[in-house]
Amino acid sequence: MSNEKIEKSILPETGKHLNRRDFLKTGLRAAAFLSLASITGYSLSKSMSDDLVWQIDPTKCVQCGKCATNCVLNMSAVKCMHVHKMCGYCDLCGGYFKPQVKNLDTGAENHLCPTKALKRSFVEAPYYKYDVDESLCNGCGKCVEGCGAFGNGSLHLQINHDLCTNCNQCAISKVCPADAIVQIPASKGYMLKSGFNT
Amino acid sequence: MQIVKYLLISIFLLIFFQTSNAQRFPEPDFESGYEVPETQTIAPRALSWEYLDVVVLFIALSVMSWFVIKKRSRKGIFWTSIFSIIYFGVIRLGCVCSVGSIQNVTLSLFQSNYIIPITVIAFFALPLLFTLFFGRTFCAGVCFMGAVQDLVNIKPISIPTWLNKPLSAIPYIYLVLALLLAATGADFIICRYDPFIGFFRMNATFGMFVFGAVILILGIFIGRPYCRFLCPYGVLLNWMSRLSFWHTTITPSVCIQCKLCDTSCPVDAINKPVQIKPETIEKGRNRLITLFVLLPVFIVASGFLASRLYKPLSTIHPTVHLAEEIKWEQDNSKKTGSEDSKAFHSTGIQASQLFSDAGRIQHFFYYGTWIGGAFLGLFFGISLLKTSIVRRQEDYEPDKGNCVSCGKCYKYCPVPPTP
Amino acid sequence: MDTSNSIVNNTNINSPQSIPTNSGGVRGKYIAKYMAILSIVIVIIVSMFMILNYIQIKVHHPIESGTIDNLVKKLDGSDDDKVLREQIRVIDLMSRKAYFSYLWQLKTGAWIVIGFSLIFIFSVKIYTKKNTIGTVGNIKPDSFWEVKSKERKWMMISIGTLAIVAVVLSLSSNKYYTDFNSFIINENITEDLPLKQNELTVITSQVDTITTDSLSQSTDSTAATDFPTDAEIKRNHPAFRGPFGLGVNYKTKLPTDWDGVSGKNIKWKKAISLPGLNSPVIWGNFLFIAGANENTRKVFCYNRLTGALIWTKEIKNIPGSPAKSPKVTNDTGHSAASLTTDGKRVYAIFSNGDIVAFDYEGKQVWAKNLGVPDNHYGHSSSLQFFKNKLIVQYDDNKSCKLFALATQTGEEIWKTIRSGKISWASPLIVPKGNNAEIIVNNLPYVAAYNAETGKEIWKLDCLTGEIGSSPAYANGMVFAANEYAKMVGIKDGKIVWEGFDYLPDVSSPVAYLDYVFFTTSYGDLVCINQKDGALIWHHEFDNGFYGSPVIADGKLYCIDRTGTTVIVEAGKEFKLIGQPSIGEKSDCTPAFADGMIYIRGQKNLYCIGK
Repeated sequence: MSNEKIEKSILPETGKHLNRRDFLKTGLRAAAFLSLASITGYSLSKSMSDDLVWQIDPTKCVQCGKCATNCVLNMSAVKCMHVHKMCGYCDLCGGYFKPQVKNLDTGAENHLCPTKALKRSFVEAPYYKYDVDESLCNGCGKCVEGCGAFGNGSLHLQINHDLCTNCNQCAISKVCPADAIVQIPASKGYMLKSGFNT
Repeated sequence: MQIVKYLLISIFLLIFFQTSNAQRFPEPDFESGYEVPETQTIAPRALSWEYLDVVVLFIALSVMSWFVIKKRSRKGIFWTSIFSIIYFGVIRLGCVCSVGSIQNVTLSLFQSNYIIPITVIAFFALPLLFTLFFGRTFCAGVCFMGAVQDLVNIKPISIPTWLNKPLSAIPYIYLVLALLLAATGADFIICRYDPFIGFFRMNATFGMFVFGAVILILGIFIGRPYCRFLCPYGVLLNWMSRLSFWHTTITPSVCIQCKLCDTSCPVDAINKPVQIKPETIEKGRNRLITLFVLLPVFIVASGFLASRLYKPLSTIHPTVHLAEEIKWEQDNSKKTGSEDSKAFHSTGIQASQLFSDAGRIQHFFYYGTWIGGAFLGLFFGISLLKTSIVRRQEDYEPDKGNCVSCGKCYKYCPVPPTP
Repeated sequence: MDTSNSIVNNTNINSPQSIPTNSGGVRGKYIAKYMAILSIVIVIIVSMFMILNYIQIKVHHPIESGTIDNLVKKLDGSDDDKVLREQIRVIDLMSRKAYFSYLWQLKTGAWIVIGFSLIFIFSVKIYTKKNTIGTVGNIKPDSFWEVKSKERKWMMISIGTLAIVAVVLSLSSNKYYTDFNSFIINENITEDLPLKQNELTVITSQVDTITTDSLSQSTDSTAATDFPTDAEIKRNHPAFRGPFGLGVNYKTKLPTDWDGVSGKNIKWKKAISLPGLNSPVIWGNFLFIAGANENTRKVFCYNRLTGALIWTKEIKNIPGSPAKSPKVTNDTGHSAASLTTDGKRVYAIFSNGDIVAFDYEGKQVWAKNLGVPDNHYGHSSSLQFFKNKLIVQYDDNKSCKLFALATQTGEEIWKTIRSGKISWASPLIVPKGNNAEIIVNNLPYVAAYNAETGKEIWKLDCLTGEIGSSPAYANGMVFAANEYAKMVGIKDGKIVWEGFDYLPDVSSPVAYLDYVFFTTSYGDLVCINQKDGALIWHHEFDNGFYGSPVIADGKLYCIDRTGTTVIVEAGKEFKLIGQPSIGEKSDCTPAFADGMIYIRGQKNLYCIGK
């Protein structure tokens, strides 16, 4: 295109006025191109090839329950995840049973989980295993609170990457009172708690 | 029996509470050979898919530009836009989109500790680059939001310029606000108030659904209401498109002023022939001089006015918001009891530190509102100036800034292409 | 001006007036019309149902309604009412069914609405497809300026409205908001705004301070906390060699050129009335330093921006403190150990075993004596803190102890007695999620301890001689070295590599990116590969180094005994950036704040910056 323009400007019949306008236009184009290039270049200078994903920092989470209601998905992408390696396999599980439970059985009246997503199975006396059915879990965090208050804190809320649409601005992060929703490089995957403390 | 067990457990718990901060219950010693399972996690979307998105964007832009500039095929434009709706909307659920990426780029410009993924930069820069070369072919349909509005625009009506012009100022205000909030790390409002994304995710707040539905219903009659009267990215595309090297034309050859395309544009972006002499030179010149003199006044006044709003605006930032709450607690010596307040007190951060942070953010907002306001003043001043300048024009031409290259005018031109 | 089926009626043009398109498909249009009506009716009906459903859920959420909780309470009150229990179970099942079918309904409804909307759009498109194209606009040439002036008028009206709205908003709202400008503590700091996203920096920063996979027990964090976050620690310079004692600072815009003699780039210079080899520590605008001789021990608090002395406190009348300070050598002195500060209090330790905490107002919070050390040079291990624990490495010829004292009260939280012999090194803190490891050198061990409990994590026999150098840490590896011994790279308590050249005596190594830097008392500066211990480069300077090399702003700052700071690029090539001098001897390590460097010389404290 610039060739064409230059030719035009050399042509004797084109007025001086047009020349100036072409010159101005070329200048503006160069300016637009350079500013776009510099903004992009500057961003690139501090970019990373990795993608960012949202995760809950379990050390900050206060289990306010907003994860269940504020995710853009109707069944929140926040699920309870169980780090079995931290679990005490207790019979009386603070995450499974209501605080004042009388009978340690699986009756609906004893469950803490409103959707019964936490399953209990017998391993060996006196140990019980607890698993989360993610298709039922709505991320309310009640069990996490219970486990943290009475147990090892092996249950915790985390964002399931399979479900998370990875919004540019996580809707939960905006309302999280503890600023626990953070963006981490995708290669780091999950911010899960690790095993037993020594 | 039960009670004894309970007592034992509670004593055990009490002892543990007192002595240890580590796990309360020891690691079980399984005798049955039971093995402790790993926590099952599903890996995030592979990085290669993110790069594929960029490739798809590039290809879609190229194909769209080819259809617009070379083939002049409305059908091609239409089917490319359907593809974009399906890929970027239905499959990718609209994130990250070029419109929202302005905020990520802004954040990375202003906050050195935000590290931006390259893919997001590509989503920001590619459409702008293509627009600088080919006009707003991105808007034509690569942008799935534009494509959706294009799809529903069944019975377009024209908006008179006296209404069109003031409404077109909204994107500038929106852009300034979005950039200010993104630069301070307060919020990504473009993403939050995206009217269409809810339809693709089939989920949004009730209010956003209503907003989206209103835009779509309006969009039946008014061509692309979001693109024209809201889209902040459109402002940048508009600037780039004005300078574009190649831009689509209504006629494939030479305009014969047949007026057939006159009302064909759904976004009122056709510049019509102006052959009249300017009104009395004296009057016009005086007005121009007045407006020129007023321009700096506009800039300063607008900057000043905007800067008066920095405090309420800064409360959009969570830190300032929290600081206001904690300040209130201090002044009234009671707790609000909100989750935010509780969470803050549990961190052990000093209120003075929080206030200091809030002060620095407000400081940023103060200068940000000054600059943003001054920019808006400049924009308003120039808009007024433009209403007093007339440029001689003989042909029907697309307005390079506002034309979204949708190609709906092609079929109205009766002139055959020059061989 | 609409594009309905009107046919061109303006005849004064030469072009074809209308272009007939496909004129067939009347039947198709008929079908399209009814399809459109049908689909829009379905869309409206389904939308109405969805809205009603939504409202119903808002009013009465099946699983959050509390009905079951009330019934359970009743059950607790009664004596195992079997009927009631059965009732609860039934209601529970029903409510969960209601909840999940609501979710299903929403999803299905959304699909129906979207599907039929698409059908509607396409049918309407077919129905309104025009047989002819074009109508001619009726812009009257003479109305051009009318249009423009109308446009101008409405532009003015909108601008005016906006301005009025802005004025009203600012007048009505500003009084409800606080102006936090007066609360800004670090006015001169030009670092980034506190961001929600700042975790990113922590995770992606070169120093592997936080490993996300080792997040540990957290749910008790609501317990009383009286300590800064890691991010705040990194923003300050709270201890010897900076945050956590790792020697890597996060400050920027630091000067690289100054001259203490001509005063170039020297912002202020203050004489310190008592000698001491401890290095300054900084929190916010407060800078703390200590000095002591046989009889007097003092802590000084400066405004680091202006150099104004805010307070001076003498440490005396401490229970258990000896009447006479133990003998020390001149090149150690009575105040060799650096202070530490956690944003609330500052802690100092002296040659006679006195340890003291002051708040920022200069009020003594607690003080005690840890027992007069039997140390032939003088106590010189600097203090560190982790959360609410003040970490004290307290080695003497009798025993080697590691204390954790409560920062609020000075009470002992744990004490670990280590085997091995005296050292003069300082501990460093390696944060591990919610916990941390304390890495300590003594003779002949490098060892790691759990900061919460004081329990030993690993211990490695690898040092000999009199240990003056502190360890370094980066990327999961610990580095230690000592003159007459060797330098080692340790991973998980095992030696990965060893080296025998350029061993430090007084100064401590620093690890950064892929490198470890050592300076020696003979003027050597070496860069070693972290992974295998290979020598990357070596350079010899005229004067020996006693102050430790530290990384700041991506550069390595090493101060030699004459007070000249050797500044080199912290990278794989040796690149000298500058050799500015304060013009006064110094054996201390510099402290950093944004844009400013603080160096303690033999007599004066310098603030270097523009």
